[in-house]
Amino acid sequence: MNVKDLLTRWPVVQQILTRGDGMHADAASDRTRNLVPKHHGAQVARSVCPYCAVGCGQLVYHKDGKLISIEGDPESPISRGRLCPKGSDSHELLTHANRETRVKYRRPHSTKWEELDLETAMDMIAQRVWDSREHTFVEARGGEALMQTTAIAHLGGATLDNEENYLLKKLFAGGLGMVCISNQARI
Amino acid sequence: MPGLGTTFGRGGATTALPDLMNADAILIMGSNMAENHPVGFQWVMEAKERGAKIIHVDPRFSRTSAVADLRAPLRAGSDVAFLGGLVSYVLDNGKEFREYIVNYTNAAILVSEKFQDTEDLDGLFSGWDPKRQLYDPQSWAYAHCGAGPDGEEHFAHGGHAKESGQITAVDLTSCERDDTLQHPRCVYQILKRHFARYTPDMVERACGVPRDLFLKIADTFCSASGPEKTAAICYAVGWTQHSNGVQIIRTAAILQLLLGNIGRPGGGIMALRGHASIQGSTDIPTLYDILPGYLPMPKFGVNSRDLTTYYSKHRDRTGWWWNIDKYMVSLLKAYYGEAATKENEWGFSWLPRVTGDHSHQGYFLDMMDGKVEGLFVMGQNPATAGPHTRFERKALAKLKWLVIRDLVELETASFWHDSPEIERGELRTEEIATEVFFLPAAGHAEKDGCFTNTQRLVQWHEKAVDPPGDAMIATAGDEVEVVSTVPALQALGHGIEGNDRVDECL
Repeated sequence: MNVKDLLTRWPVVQQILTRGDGMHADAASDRTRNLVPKHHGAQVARSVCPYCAVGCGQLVYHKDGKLISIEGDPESPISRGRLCPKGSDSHELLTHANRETRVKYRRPHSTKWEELDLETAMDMIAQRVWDSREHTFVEARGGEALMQTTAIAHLGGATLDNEENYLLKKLFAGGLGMVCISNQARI
Repeated sequence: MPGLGTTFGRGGATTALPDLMNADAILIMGSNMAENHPVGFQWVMEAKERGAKIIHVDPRFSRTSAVADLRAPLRAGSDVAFLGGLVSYVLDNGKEFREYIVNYTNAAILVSEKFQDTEDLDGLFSGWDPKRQLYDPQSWAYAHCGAGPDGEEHFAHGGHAKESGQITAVDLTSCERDDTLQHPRCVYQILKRHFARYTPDMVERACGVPRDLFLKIADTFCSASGPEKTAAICYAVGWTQHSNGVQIIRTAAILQLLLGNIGRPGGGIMALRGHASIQGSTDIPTLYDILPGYLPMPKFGVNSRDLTTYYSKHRDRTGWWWNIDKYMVSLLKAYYGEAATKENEWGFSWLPRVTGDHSHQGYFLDMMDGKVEGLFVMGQNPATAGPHTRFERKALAKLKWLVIRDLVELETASFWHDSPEIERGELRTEEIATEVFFLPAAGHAEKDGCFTNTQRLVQWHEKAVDPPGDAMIATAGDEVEVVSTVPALQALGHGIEGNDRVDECL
C-alpha cells in the first residue's frame, strides 16, 4: 500500500476530495471493509427444527464439514422463516461442549466408564441381544403361534425419524419378536 | 390419540396450523401456545388481526392469556365439565348446525333399546361388569343395522388401534335413523339427555368459571360457528397428560361436530404435539399394540389364529378399514420380502403376539420383577421423564444390560453412579450388575430423514454434515447401512443363520 493510497483513505481527505461527511464508507477500516457474513461461501441444507411439533423449516449452513449456523427457512409454509429462541439455538444442540462423541462402557458392578471401540461394542450388544432372545423366545402356546419375547424392551423418543421408527419396529417386532416396544408418544 | 381416533377414524389433528387464520374464533385450552408453540401461534395472531376472537381457558394466566380476547381461569382437571357445559349450551339453545349433523354425523341414528345412560344407573352406563371392572359395550350398539358377512348382527365401533376385538363396525347407511332428530333413542337425543346436567351453574361450581363469563365464552364460540363461520380448538399436553385426557378430547370432538366445525376451512381440532415427530411415532409406531398405519398387532387368543380371524375382527364395512387386508399384506411383504407368500399367509404367523400390557409402564413393572433382561433407550430419558422416576431408576438396576443412544450422557445412562438412590444409599454402585453401553447419536442436521409434524405434514430434513466421532445414523432406505448401525440388526449380520424368519427380515 503506497502513501497516496493511505492518505486518501483518511476521512478528512475524503471529505475534502469528495465532499463526503467523513462517516460510513469514508471512515471504514480495512477490517470493516472486508467483513463477510459467517456463512459466506457456505453450503446450505434444508432441515426441520427438532424441538416442538410445529415443524419450522431450517436452513443449515455448513462449510468444510462443519456446521456454521442454523437459520429460519423463509420458504416454509408453516413457519415462514421464523424460529423461536429454542429453534434459533438448535445449532448449539449439535455443537455444545458436553456432547458425547465416543462409545462408553460400564461393566457389571464397575464404578467407572471405560472406552470401547464402536465395532467391539456392536458385537457385544449383538451377542447380548441374541443370548437374551434365544433363551426367552416362545414360539407357540397351546398349538397357536406366539413368536414372542418379553425379556427385551425398547423405549424411543419422539424425535426419532419416521425411517428410524419403521426400522426399529420391523427389526425388533417383525424380526426378533420383541413386544415390549414403546415410545414417549404413548399418552 | 384415542380421543380423535374414536371420533374421526385416525388419531391426528383435523386441521393445519396455517388454516387457523381462517377461523372466526379460536378456543385454546390446556396449552400455553404463545410460549410453547410460538411459531405456530403466528397463525392465531393472524386470525386475530382478521377479526377472530381468541379465547383462552387455562388455570394459569400466561402469555397466551395476555393476547386473548376472553380469558377464563379453570380449576385444574375440570376440563370435561367446562366442555360439557359448552355441549349442553349448544343443545339447549339450538346452536347446532342441523344440516351438518344430520348428513355428516351419527346424530340421527338410533341406538339399541338395551342402552341405559348414567342417569338411569346411578353413574354407570349399561353393560358394567363389576367383577371384571370392565364395560361390555354390546348394549351401546346401534339398533337394527344390516347383518355382517358372517350372518351375525354387527355393532358400530371405531377406534385408535381397533383393539377391543369384540365389536366391528357396521355400514351406517343401513341403520335405522330419524332425520328429524326427535326419536328418544337417536344419538342426538341421548346426547342431549346425557349433557343436560352440565348447566352454567354446574360449570361454575365444578370449574370455578363465573357463570356470566362462561355464558359469554359459550356465546362467542357458538356465534363464530355455523354455515358461514367456523371456530377451531387448540389443545396440548394440558389435556393429554390428564388421566382422563381421552375423555376431554372426545368431548371437544363432540362439540366441534355439533357446531359443524370439522372438515371446513378455519374449523377443526388442532392437537399441538410436543415433539418433532410425536405424530409420526404413532403413525409409524414404535408402540407395542400397533403396526405402521394403525394396523392392530395380533393379540394372542383374540385375533391371532390366522389372517381370516384377524380380518374378521378388524374389518369395517365402510371407510378405509374395509381395505385392512390390502394394508396388512403390503406391510407383511415389506417386512418379509419374497419369503412372504400366499401359502404362508404372507408371514402373518411370524409376527409376535401381544399377551398383555407391554407399554412403557407395563414393562417397567416387569423389569422391577427381574423379568426384563435388556433395554434399548433411544432418545428418551425414563430416569427423569417417566411416571414414577424413583421406581424406574431402581428397575433399571435389575437389568442385565442397557443400551442408550443419545447426544449426551443423560440420567438414564448414569443411574448407576449418579442418582438420588445412590446418594441416599438405596442402591450401591458396586452391587448393580447392569452392563451399560452408551452410544453417541447423530443430531437432526447430521442425517437424512423425515419428521411428521403436529398437523401430519411429513417433512424431509437433509443431512448437512457427518456426525462426530462414533455417533451413529440409523436412517434412510439403505438397510445395509442400518445393519452396521442399529445395534441389534447387526446381530443378524453375525452368522445367526438357521433362523429363517430373521434372515427373511433382512
